[in-house]
Amino acid sequence: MKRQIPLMIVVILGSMFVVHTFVPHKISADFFDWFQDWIKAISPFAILLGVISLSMVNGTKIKRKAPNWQYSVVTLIGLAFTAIAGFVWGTQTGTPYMWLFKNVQMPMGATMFSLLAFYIASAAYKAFRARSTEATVLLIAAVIVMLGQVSLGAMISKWIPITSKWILNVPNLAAKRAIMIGVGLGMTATSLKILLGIERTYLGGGK
Amino acid sequence: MKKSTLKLLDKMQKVDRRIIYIIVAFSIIIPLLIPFNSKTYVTEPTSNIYQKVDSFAGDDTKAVLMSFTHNASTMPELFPMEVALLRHCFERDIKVLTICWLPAAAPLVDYAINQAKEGYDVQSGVDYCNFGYKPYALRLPIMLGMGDDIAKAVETDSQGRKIENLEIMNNIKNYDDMNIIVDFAGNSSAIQWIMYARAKFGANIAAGITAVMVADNYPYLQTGQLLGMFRGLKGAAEYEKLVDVFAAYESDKFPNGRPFSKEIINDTWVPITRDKVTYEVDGKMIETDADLQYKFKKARIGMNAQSVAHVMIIVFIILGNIGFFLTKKKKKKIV
Amino acid sequence: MKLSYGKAGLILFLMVFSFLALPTLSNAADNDASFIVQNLTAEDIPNDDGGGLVLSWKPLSKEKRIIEYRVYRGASKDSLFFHGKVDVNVKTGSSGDVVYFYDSGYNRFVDLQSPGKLKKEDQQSDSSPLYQRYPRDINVTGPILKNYRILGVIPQKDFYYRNKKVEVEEDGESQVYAGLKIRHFSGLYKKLKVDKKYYYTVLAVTESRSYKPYCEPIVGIPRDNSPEITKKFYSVFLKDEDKLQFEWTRALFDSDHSDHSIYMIHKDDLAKFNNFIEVQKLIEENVVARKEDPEVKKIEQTHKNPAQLIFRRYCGYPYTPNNTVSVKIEDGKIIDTEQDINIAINTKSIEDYYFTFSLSDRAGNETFSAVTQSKIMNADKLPKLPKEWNVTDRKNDKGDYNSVYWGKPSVFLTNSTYLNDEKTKLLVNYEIYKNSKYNEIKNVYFKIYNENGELIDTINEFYQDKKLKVVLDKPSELISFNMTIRANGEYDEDHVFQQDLVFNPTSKSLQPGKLYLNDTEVNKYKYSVYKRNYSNQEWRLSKSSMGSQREIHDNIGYRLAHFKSVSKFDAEKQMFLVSPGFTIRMDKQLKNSIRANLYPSEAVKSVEQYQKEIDKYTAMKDTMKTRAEKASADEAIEYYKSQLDLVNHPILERAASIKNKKSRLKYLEKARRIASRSFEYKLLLSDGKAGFTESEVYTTNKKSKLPWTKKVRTSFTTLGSDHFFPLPNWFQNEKFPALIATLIFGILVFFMIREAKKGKDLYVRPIAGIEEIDNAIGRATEMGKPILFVPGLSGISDVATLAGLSILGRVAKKAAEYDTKILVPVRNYIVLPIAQEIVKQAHYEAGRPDTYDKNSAFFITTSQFAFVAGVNGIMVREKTATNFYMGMFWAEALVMTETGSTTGAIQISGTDAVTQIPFFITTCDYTLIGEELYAASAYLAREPLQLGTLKAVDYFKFIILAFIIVGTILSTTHATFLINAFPEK
Repeated sequence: MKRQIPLMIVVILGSMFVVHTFVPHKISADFFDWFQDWIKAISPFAILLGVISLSMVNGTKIKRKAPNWQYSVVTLIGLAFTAIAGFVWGTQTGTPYMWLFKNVQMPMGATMFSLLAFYIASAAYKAFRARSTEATVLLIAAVIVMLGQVSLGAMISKWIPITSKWILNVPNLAAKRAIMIGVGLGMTATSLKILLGIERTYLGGGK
Repeated sequence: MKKSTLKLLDKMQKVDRRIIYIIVAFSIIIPLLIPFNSKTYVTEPTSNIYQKVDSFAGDDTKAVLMSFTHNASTMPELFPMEVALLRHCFERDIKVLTICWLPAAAPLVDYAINQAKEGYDVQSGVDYCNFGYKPYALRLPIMLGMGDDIAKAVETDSQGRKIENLEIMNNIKNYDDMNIIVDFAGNSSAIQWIMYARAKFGANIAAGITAVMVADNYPYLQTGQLLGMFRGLKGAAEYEKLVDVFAAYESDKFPNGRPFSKEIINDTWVPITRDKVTYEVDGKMIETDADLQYKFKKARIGMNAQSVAHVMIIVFIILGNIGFFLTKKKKKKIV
Repeated sequence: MKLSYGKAGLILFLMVFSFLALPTLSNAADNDASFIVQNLTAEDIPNDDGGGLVLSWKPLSKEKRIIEYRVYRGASKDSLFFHGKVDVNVKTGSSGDVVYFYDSGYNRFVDLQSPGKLKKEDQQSDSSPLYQRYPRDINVTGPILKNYRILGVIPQKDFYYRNKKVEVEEDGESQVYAGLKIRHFSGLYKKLKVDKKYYYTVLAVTESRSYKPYCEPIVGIPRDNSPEITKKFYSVFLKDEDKLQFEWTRALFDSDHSDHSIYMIHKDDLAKFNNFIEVQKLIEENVVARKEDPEVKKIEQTHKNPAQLIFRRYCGYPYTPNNTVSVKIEDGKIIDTEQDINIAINTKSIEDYYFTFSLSDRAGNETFSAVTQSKIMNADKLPKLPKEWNVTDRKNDKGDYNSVYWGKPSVFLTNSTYLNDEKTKLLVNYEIYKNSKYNEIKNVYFKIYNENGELIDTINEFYQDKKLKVVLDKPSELISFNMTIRANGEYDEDHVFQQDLVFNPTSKSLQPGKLYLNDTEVNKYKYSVYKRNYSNQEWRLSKSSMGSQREIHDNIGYRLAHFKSVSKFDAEKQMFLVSPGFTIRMDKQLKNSIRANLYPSEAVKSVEQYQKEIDKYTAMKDTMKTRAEKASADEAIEYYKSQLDLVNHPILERAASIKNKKSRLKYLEKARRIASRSFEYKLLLSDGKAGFTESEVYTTNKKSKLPWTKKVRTSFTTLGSDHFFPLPNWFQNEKFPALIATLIFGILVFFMIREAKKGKDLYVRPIAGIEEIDNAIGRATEMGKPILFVPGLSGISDVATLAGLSILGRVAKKAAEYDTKILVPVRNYIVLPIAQEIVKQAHYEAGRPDTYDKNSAFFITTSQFAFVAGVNGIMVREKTATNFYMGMFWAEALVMTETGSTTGAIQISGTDAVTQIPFFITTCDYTLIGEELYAASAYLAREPLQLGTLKAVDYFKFIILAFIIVGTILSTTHATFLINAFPEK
């Protein structure tokens, strides 16, 4: 039963959504809206699960004095502090919560994001080796597109930006579309497997 | 001897990533701190926008609409575009309307306008108008509504004033009076403008997008559904140059900037190390009175950094490959 | 990496300190008095209905770091409630010297989100008069009702079924109301009352959310002003038809307008009329002045208005009114019995007459436009409406649109760009307007001429990609296009659109000129579609469109709410009281509304009430002396008699016969819905200057099927022929190809699964990344290090996440068998319990429930880059030997995988995010590209069910490929039927 009921919910609701795709009727549209409200109602409970998990993982670490347990203390205090700040002073602009968001979370996020620039450089250095014919083609294309993006390319030859544009527009777009078609089909197949109950791993376990 | 060469080649192949990081960091930071002159080539998607915006300069029956669909995370690339476009409008006496769809974009619009308008004699509600933040959920109804009557669809501006009472709206009723609509976003949100404002009302649409998303929007540019496109920071740099060369140009014949010409743009360079707008034509320098402030060359300085970084990466790739080839050869010989 | 107590303590201290210091650091030195807002004024908004004030004040300087101004309002000085706020950007401050705040129209009064109890505003002393928003507490809000005009919006169901009958004693008689609790309103809205005193104050809030002192409250009194002057008013006299036509610009503010009128003035009377207007203006000013100061002397009108009324019409707020009218002259007279108009006009000398347009509002104020004279012309100069136009219910929708369409499709150029430096190659963009009838455009033919009129090129656009390439011999400043269309198999060679591309020196490119259809300029005229339902007297604008457009979709929303004015409350029952009556429709003559009541007993009562009134007036008539008095009594009797007649209307009669309360209301609501959602239509083509042609009301004898019983439809006889009701559809036709494809796919899956079950060996291409999974797990076991598995960053509704989780199942099972620790960091909290369950189940299946650690799948954060930082930390600290990334990833992908590769882990990734695949390929040892991610679980499971589906995908891909190739060949050979069979989106 523990398996059957969730499976039934998935199969029934899933089929209803398939029908919804083809039926524009008011009833179908209302069903969709009603369902959206449910999702909104469910997510707060899931947040609670997340917070419990976070506290448990870090709490255990602190209790057992696992290596680097001090980080866990910082995490938990940060969590409690942000939550309390939000509850006590609200989340409007000018409140401590927003201050934390603007001056702690945003710059830290931006820092992580900017690491990309460095990682791209080192990844390119490692990856682009003319090991085979295909790799050589990739290498040349990459150099042309990179040059085409900056003025140096146009200074070398007026053909570089034009070729760069062609590479992006033709071979690149073609490959991209092919992958997209494959992805679309893969998604459809997986969805179908879930609907038919063939794929049940999301319920926990293989079978 | 042979062994040491092999060692060197091996090292060339396996440069410690930390060295790469350091070099990349410097190749980005140094050009940002010490700007140098580099040539900016203007491409068609950018100059198309410029021409369209410029085509109704001084005409108070037409306006440009700027739509902001991004937040601070994509600001480094999009913000210079917005400032450059606003500066163009203020220089050439073109009415500008702005609207944004994310709460986080509202301060960005203010910031862009305030930065661009310094030094220009422009007034809110007369020369430009910020419609302010409108919820994304209302985007579609507002987009469609603007085809009929902008004042009715948008109702109030960011200061809470009724739009219909503003001087700027005197001759502006709907998309027919809109010269061009430019959407700035880190995604493909310009497609909505194409689908609704263009297909239904025939409005001209252009997009300002981050470099990563450019490839996704190319098909629309190909079909002409997008009239033009700012392609990442490079697009912003190109527009900055266009504004310098044409809109900021002053002479007795053209007191308010000169009209666009493909011939002029191709062989005029604007050195960014100078504090005044200066034209370099055939090796000769012509300095004008117009100030070239840092905010109006931000994208070009950024492009310097990008160019150097790109070149550095290419150099790394080449070094790695040289090492790779020679080692392969050497190894073969040794074997 | 080790963090000592000291360091941890320092970090914490810094965090807390920076936090506490924040409010004290900023603007600590300034004193509060300098934060009081200066120059606060409240002024009346001109031309409005007396419900609007505009507040303005001087903004504080940028250095004061203000983030918002809060506005408070009240009817007395000692209790001011929060009304609204103006946000300020801290960095830039307010732009401009004055901040404006409009208090106009209906705005929020009380709703479910309002505070429960009366609350003082934050950071206020006990003596402060400032409160937060109006609370839900009816004991507080009830007495305030009288200070405003209150509008309650009540959802249908709540109004019908959640109400409570409440009787109130009024002037000795008991009056029945419907009582509703606050939660039954979707909201209550308030508007200022005319001539009432309101108090306002404003306070500034700084960056640290400190509420600064409020300024001294000021007084504002909204006044009812006369309507604005109509900007433009045009008149045309059609000589051959003896008809006057008028058109005017609509007013911007029309919420209290009642009538549109047109007056005629003979040229000899013009001076008199102007004098009259002059005095009228003085009187208006005088009225307002006398309100402010009763001592001011009253001004009386000294002139007689010489203008004669020739037309008057109710303007039907809140809908956009019709702004045209044609007035017929018969035998030298304009006659309208309803408005008592009977005026002689000499059509021979029409130039002797002037006309003026007036807007009048409910308070009786009237504003005249400037006078105008008629342009004289013949009817053949008017624009011609298309011969054929239609109204239908729009297909494939949820029943909220009617379509109005006309004419044959139009084509026009929108832009052009040079493709080469020589300016001889051009890219020309064009657009097509289709409509519901002509929706299959087969060909568009372009004939292109140079400036000498020589034909340069003929282009047949058999697939309309909205762009043309034109090659010229030499650069040209003028190119002409002739465009014809083959639509629905019909080719009309006389339907030729002409448009030029003209060189524009400013933009240095060829720009489209004006569009002509058979030598008539297309966009000189505008179409307007007007509509009217059973419950309104006047026509209203549905939409207007450019002359080139061929269709409009008229939105008819599902009306869900009742709008009721609220002025009473019942403190004991905690209810607001509204009138229980509601309108069903207008009667056939569109004069009176048929009204029903929530309570059947009240409906019966009103019959008695009408009879009483009739008796009362008849009795009164005997004692009346003047003729005017008698006439008004007659009018009253007439009105009540007509109301009595309406009580016997079939709809009400049938409702009365229904005993069950709920079914009675259900029946009434159905009638109300049909009445308000069925529309009749009229099409108008105008040049905007009274040169217009108006169609008759559209009727058809092809009645479509309607879902209601005959009994219901007898009350709506014109339904389906004149009036059109949008019906919801059960199938979206454009999705037919998708349905077929789904079915084929389903059959393929079914068939392949059967084959697999029979034991047929299905070949599946080896995928290196999947085959390596076992080895990678083995490696971790050998090294004694944990495995990291990231199931993507998106939610459970993303199929990629599901695919990732199904791989997690296999990986976790293998790991459990080898007794290797697995770590599953999760970003989405809905994914978390699922991931936990999967890992747990895997341990059970592997027969190792004892080794299951419930913390192996854990939540980090929802923030994208903070999550990456967390995962990177785990990789570095735990030295994971094998990393899996399966699911949806965005920009953070490279940051994770590159860190993984520095720690020396084996990395296997799989994603359908096209933009991230390159990063994965360069940094991971194996990558599942796109669909391989979805195939992985089937590949690993090797069950017939899974393999069958996988194989079906392969065959289906083959079908798609076949369609692409065939489609390309066919459309290259001008056969576009295949392309057109698929929807555009």
